[in-house]
Amino acid sequence: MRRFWVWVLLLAAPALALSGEEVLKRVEARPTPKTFHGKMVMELINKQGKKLTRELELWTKKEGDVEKMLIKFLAPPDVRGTAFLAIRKGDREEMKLYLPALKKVRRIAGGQRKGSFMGSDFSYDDIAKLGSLKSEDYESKLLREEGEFYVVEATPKPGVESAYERLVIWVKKPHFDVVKIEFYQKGALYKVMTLGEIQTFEGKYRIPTRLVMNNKKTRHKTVLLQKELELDQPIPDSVFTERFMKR
Amino acid sequence: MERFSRFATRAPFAVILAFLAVTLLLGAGISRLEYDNSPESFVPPDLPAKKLLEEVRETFGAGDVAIAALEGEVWTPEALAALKDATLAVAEVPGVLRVTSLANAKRMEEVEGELWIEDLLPEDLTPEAIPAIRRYVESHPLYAGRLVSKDGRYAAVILEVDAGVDNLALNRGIEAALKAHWKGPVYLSGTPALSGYILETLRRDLLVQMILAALLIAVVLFFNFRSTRGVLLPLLTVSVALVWSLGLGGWLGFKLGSISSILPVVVLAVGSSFTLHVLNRFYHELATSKDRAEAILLAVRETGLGVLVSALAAGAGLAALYTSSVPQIKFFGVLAAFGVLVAFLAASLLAPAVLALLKNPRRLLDPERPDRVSRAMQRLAPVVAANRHRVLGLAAAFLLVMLLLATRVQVETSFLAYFPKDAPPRVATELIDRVFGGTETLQIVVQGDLKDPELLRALYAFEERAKAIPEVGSAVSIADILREIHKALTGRYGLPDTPEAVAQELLLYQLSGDPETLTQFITEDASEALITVQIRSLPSRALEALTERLRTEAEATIAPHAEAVRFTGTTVLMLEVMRLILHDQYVSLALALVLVAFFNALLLGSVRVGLVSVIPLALTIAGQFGLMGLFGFPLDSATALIAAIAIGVGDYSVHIIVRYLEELRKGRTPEAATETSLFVSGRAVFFTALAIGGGFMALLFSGFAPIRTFAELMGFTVGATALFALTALPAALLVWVRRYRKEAGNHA
Repeated sequence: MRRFWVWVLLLAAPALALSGEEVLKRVEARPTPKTFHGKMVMELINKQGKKLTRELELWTKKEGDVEKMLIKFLAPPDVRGTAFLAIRKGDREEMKLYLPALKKVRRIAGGQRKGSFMGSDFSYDDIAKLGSLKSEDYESKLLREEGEFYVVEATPKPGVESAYERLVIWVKKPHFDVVKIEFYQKGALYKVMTLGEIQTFEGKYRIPTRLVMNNKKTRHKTVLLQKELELDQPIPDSVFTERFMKR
Repeated sequence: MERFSRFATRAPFAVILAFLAVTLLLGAGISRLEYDNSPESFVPPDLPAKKLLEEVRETFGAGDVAIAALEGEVWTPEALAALKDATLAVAEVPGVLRVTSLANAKRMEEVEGELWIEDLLPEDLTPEAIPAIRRYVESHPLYAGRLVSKDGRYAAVILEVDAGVDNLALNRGIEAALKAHWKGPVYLSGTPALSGYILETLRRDLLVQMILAALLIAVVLFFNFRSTRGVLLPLLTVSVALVWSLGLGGWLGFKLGSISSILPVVVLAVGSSFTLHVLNRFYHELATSKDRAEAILLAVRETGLGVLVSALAAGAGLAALYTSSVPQIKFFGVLAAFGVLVAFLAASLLAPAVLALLKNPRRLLDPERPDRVSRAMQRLAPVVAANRHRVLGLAAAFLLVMLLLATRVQVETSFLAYFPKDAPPRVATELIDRVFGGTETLQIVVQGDLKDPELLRALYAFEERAKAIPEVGSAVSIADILREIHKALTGRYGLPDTPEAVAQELLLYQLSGDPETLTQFITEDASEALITVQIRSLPSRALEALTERLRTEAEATIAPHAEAVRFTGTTVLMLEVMRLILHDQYVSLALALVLVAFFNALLLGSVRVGLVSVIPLALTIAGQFGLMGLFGFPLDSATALIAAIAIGVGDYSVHIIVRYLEELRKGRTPEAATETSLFVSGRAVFFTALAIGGGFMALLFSGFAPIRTFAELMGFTVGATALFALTALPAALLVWVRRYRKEAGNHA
């Protein structure tokens, strides 16, 4: 009898196709650009439906283990020119902030990673997950296949620092595009991110240009629209400097 | 009525079955009864301050504020770790929206050219790090004395909780979560916490008081009838009334609050008097050797009118509470009136039906036999008759003095006043008031351009002035946060000079972490801000004065730069309740007296008799308020009911009137009629007073101070109505109602 079940399992296995881990590995294996430049329109929508719009310009560059990012606020007018620079080397991260009203660049320290990305419902980590889901950090399980989607549950492995207990990730089949992530905290659904209007850039990069993060706890929502994207275009190092911040 | 009773004696089973069916049907509603004693249960839903409070809750995600004080040396790694665990644990309690303590406070500071924005307590806290953290906290205006006491002996956990949750379960959850991690004593206060403690006391008291009241009434009944059925029959009818009344409340979705704890006792005490009268007469008729069915009919016929009048009057007096704007008082009025009317129904239907089924008692004692009580009453009659003008003069003087004293009565709606001096919630409140400068919060919503430095400076100036008032513990707004950011950025305390600088500094703070930390103070579009003022728990009058002073300060400082400044918070709601109670008092009192006079005039067929009939009541009510003024008893949600309930309990004077008029009609002289009515009805009045008074004495054991005061006043009320019914009433009858014909009785 036992042998019978072994045979059933062996025969059935190929039909299940990919495991959860394999799905995430395939997502991770997609190419990511070395440089990224573009504009972001950020709509902050509170639970009463009041909308506040911010516009930023963003430059990022990856060279070996060095990641650089510069963000400049374009709108609203009262924060125009505010700039944020982050340079990450391995575990070390240097952050600087320029407030035009004070005409001063300040070095800032502290745990920003778990914090909000530019005051939105996205955290820095959520934004970072867009580029690469480090599959080795998660215990993953394929929950089900829903038509053209894989639904994968990912739980941070012990020792991995994470703001969330559990993620449920919807991956769309042909390109392994992540289209939705549910974030769970304290046993309850905390945030839902949907990634839409995915476009192909440079023939290989699959970039969502409309991201929505819905905070279920605060009923606050952020819509992030990416436009005028330039990928893999050379960005000079002079962009990631104090002088450029003040410009 | 007689027809009803005739039916009851002919078809007793049908009547009993009908009562049983309705009792089961309505009784099922009891399981649906819920408890609620939140400020909301006192506040009419359409009150502007309530709408604003709901707006504040929605806009700023703010909840009602409870504060816990954790006692013990705070500045040790163990204590801070425990505080952290306790903070995390308490945030998980259902109903807790937001928790603030040292454990989740932020540190924003410049260290060696670097701006640090991070958690105050690092993950790995070492003993060496503590002195620096302590120095930072002690220099921080938002933390020092607010999150930790100045001597470092108490840590505060500020809890914002959802409105409309079960506050008792919430209290238990909060206490369990805190005590699981914090080894030292834990104190909890603030309006939602006090609401919870009130519910706890209420649940404990309700059943105990009911049983105690029933027992006390049973004792009096026994002394009156000296038989088991004399005790059980009245208790049966009032139990039915109580089940119907509470069940109806359950079906209608009413919630029980502190005021409801009076309900069972009112129904028991007032209701039992009806059956007492009927039964008294029944035994009397039976003792004078009559057939049982006839005795029942005679009993109902003779006492019926009196019982009907007093039931209608009591019902009207209680139903007049429906005009109250305070929802809890409204519900109480409806259910109490219903209960009293059901008790009347049971006395005239169920009691005869049961009597018809029971065999005659082996030993018959005529309750109306001349005994010491009735003889004393009889002796009273000539004394009153001889001194009728003097009695009335004394009554008038009493009325005047009491009305004068009544002007000194103060209204009190503070939840703290519910608790006796040594009750734990009171101890906790006093401790937190002392150590952290307040347990109550006042919320001020400012509308305007909050990026305008002028307006921000105005907010800060207001806070400074507010904090200078001794009763104010702290005042916090976005201006304080901005000052902290500004200091970290520039090295000096101050507010940014331009709207751009304000916007950018706010943005900086947003970039540093949770956007929610800002939205509890200011809306995202910077068009509305919230100032939270922490104040000591105060009596209503002092609270009103303080609120007025803060309003004046806000008018002077903030208003010139803002579009609107509005005050709210549960404290403001309770102040509104205070005004409503005072206003309602006049309305319900006037309405009740008019209704009673109207019913009495209608049923007794004479306007003059109707007016005379309210004399004992008017005197009693004046006495109640006079005593409150004399002894400094506050008018609160419980004592606000005494006048209405006095009408319910006090209208047994109608029995004396009914008898007096009956004697007049038989052609007796007024003096002789007085003597007979006091001799026959006086004894019943005496025992009814004892039964009702005894029932109310059960409330002396209440865990609520206002209800104990209420019970004391009811003691006076019952005694006074009886006294006035036996003295001032006959005197007034002798002077003003000397002739009576039911058809045209108003020609004396």
